[in-house]
Amino acid sequence: MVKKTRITNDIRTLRFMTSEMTQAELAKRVGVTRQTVIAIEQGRYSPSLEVAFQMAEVFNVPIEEVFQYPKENNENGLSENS
Amino acid sequence: MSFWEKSTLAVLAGIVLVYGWYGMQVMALVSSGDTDLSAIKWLIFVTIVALIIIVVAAHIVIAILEKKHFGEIDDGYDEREQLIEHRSNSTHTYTLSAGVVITIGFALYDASMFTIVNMLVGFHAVADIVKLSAKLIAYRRGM
Repeated sequence: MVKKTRITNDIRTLRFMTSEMTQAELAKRVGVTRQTVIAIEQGRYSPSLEVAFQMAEVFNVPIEEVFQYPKENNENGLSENS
Repeated sequence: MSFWEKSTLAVLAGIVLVYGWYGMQVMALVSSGDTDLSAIKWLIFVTIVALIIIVVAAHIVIAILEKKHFGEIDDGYDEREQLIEHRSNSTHTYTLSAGVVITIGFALYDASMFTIVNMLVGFHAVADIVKLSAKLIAYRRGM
């Protein structure tokens, strides 16, 4: 069973939109292994802030377009921060 | 599977194999009534040498099989590898500490040196197995 992180991402889509960049190429440009890129894409690993910012820089988009942190709903269906 | 994952798997297999053999030898000594400490000195030496040989040989095989991918990005040791290493080291420390405390308890109740040494060897092996298993789970399941 895979343990998913709460952080979601659009790396797969952004890779596709950036000249169909491969996971290996993204890994090389960010300075991590391909296995780490796969783990991040699948939501099995939350990267450090540095790697997250580097990824946003590679795709030339703001970090929130790469990673999202959805609000958790409570029992009443309301978000925690509302 | 990355180089580090294969390496972890190889070391785990080596430890299970070698310490499994060690355990069987100790059981044989106990059942024959030979619980003198000198009887396990050679056994510990052989176990350590065998483990080193198996682990080195396994890494040579992995390196040969990975030869065509040598120098590729998956050989790197990045932040995720470091985090997995730190967490599994923490698990190792807790397991080993628990083992040492239990062994001290036995020692206080006049356990023989044969028992104490073998308990320490056993807990050392268990701590390593727990650590390497935790690493493999982290690689597969995520963190």
